This record gives sequence, C-alpha cells and structure tokens, in this order.
Amino acid sequence: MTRTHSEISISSLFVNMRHLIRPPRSAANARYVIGTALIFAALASSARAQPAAIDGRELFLDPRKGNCHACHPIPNSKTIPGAARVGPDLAAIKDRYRDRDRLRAAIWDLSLTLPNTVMPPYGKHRILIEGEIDAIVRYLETL
Amino acid sequence: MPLFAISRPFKLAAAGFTVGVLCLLPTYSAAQARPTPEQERQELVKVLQARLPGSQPRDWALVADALVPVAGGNVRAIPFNADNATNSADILAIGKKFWDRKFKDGKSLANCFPNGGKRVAATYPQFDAKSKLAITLEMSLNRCLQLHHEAEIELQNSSVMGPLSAYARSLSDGQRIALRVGMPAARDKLDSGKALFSRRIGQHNFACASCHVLNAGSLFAVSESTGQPSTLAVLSPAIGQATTWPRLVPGGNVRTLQMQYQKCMKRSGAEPFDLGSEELNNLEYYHTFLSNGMPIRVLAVQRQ
Repeated sequence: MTRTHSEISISSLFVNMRHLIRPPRSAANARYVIGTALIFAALASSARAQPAAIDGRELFLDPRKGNCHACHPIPNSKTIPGAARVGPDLAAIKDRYRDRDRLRAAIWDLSLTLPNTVMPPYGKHRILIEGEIDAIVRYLETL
Repeated sequence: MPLFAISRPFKLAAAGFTVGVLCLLPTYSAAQARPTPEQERQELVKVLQARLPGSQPRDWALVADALVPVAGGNVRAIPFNADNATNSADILAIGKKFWDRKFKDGKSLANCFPNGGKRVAATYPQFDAKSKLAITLEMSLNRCLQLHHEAEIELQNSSVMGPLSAYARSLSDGQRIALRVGMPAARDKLDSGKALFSRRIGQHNFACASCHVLNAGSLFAVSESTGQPSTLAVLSPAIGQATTWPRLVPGGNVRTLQMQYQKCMKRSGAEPFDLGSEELNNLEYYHTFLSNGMPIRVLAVQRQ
C-alpha cells in the first residue's frame, strides 16, 4: 500500500464521517466523541507510520518503479549487481549531493539542472509518489 | 537640371530594389546555411565517434560484438550461432513461400518490383512523389497485393509480415543502404522523422536520441522483475541500427523495425503510434537514412 493510497482512503473516510464530528449536545455524546477521536488518532498514527513501511531498496530495484540499477553502477554493493554505466556511481552520490533536498530534487526532475539527461523525471511525471522518493533518498544515503 | 540627376520614379524603383534585395538576402543566406541531409548525418557520425572512440561506423551495426571493448564492461554478446542460423533459415523459408505465392492473376510479389525484387530493399523507405508520403517496404508489399486484388497482410502480423519482410530484404543482403532525399517534400518527411527521433515522449520522458545518441555505447542492465538477475546490454548507436532489421527475437518470432519503435515507445511510457502510421513511416525514413552506405544484414542479430 503506497502513501497516496493511504491518503486517499483517509480523506474519503473523513468525508464519510463528517456527520459524526458535529459538536456534542449532551454528556451522552461524550462516549461517541471519544470513540471518534480514537479512530482519528489511529488513522493519524497509521498515516505517520506509512512512510517507514516503504522499502527504498525494493523501489530502487523494481523495474516498474525506480529501476535505478538499470543505469547506475553501485561498485561496492554486495547485494545489487551494479555494472551499468549510463549514470554516475551511486555509492558516491552522497559526495555529489551533500544537500538532501538537492538529491531529492534531482530525482524529482533532473532535467531542470541537466536538460539533456536521460533520467526520468520521477516526481514530475509521477513515476514515484513523494513518499517513495523520500524512501529512495533514505536508501541512497545508506549506500 | 544636373547632368546626373536621378529622376524621382527611378529613385523609388532603386530604393524598392535595394529593400527587396535586403529582404531576400537573409532568406538566401538561410537557404545556403541549411545543411544537406548528408551533412547532418555526418555531423551525427562525429558526435557518435566522440562517444565511441576507437570504433568506426561500419562496426556500429554489430552493437555488442563491436562495442564491448569500448564500453569497458562485461557484456555477454549474442553471436550469430548455429541455432540462430537455423532459425534464420526457417524464417526466410517461410518468407520465400509468401514471396513466391502466385496471385489469382498468375503474378507474384516479384512482379511488382524492379529486378524481381533483388537489390531494391536498400532504397526503402522511399519518398513517393505521387502520394507525397514516405513508403516502407512493408507498405510496398501491401500495395502490390492491393494492385493485384489480393488480401493485404496486417503490419502487426509478425508470423507472416515478419518473415516476408525479412525475405524481401534478404534479396538485398549485403547491399549498402542508399536512401535518396531529393525534392523538398521528401526533406519535409525526413525532418518530421528527425523531429520524432529527438522528441521526448511518455512518462519516462525518453527520446530515441536520449539513449541512441547521447548515451550510445553505455552499458545498461535489463531485468524483468525485482530479484531477477540483470542482463547487461549496450545502448546501440542510432547509425547502423536500421541495417539489421527485421530481427529474430527469443521464441523464434520476427520483429520489424516499426515493432521495435513501438516497444521503445512503450518502454518510455507512451502510447505508441500505429504500425504504418505517417509518424512511424517518417521515423523509419530518417532512421534508415542515418545508415546510408552501410550493408544490410538480414536477421543477423538476435535481440534479447
């Protein structure tokens, strides 16, 4: 389940439950309000927990998602065969992008800074959603 | 009145002439400055030679075999081996059967082409002055069938059009591609193909040129699904590609060049143009023109 799916389901729940959050008229409604609050707290907690569930390595390797190793070498990786030579070495990407926001922006749309790049604009063209880009950035920092 | 006085009408005419010449000059110089298609092709040769130092255009059609030492990686080349040759022979035998088939009027496809179809494939796609369209070899085969009141073959029918196209090209095996771009209307089609070749398309935003010019010779890894081992391959240079189509693909099928365009467009996340569409015909015209002077090698490379 991606974060987008999660957000969509939360917002649709919110629309459906709008009638439940009118102001309480009596003490009899108190239990009702507490129940509703608990549901929202659970939903909010699940929304917060969702990004951690996205596996950056999985996205990195998935041919339908990042497919990063198709173009980038990862010379020191023991688990990922990174012999491609289209893009720069990803093990050294931390040195190239010391600023995490710049690295994230490069994944979102590298053509803004390198017009002739072959790298797909993962964020701009929604190949990856925002949470997935974050997960890949976190994974790149571990290489 | 001075001797050399110039009359007013003459002054106006002279001024008009000067303005006219000045207006025409930029047009003239622009026309002069426009490189010929061959000059543009040679510029592309220089770009690719800079990317692939030590290699020659004649090597580029062989892709992995020729480019491994340049790319500097461990590439498993797929040579023209005995199994492939057997498949090729089978495919060509199927194609020959369709080529030799007699029409109801007693003619066959060979009757529609000069020299019985021998040594003509190297001139396709060609610009047809009557329809003002770039015509592919496959379209010419269908035009012949239509002329003789026979059922046309669907371009996506890889089990019939694939072998037939391969056989028709095999009659020109080894002949150097020699596309002509004569009249301005033909240049328009070539330019249209060039524009599509360079245009980024689809969710992944690739242009043909992104991989086959700007990154030609680079190694990339292909994997079908997560966890599956990747196969390394070389991004082939645009020049030379058109000489080896149609190709055999795993499973014994034949893929035409336009089918490969569709595959690339899907890989770029775009809805591909139809086979035989003007867009793909113009693209094939330009793409094949890039290989002018290089010999046709039918079914010589098995593509992964």
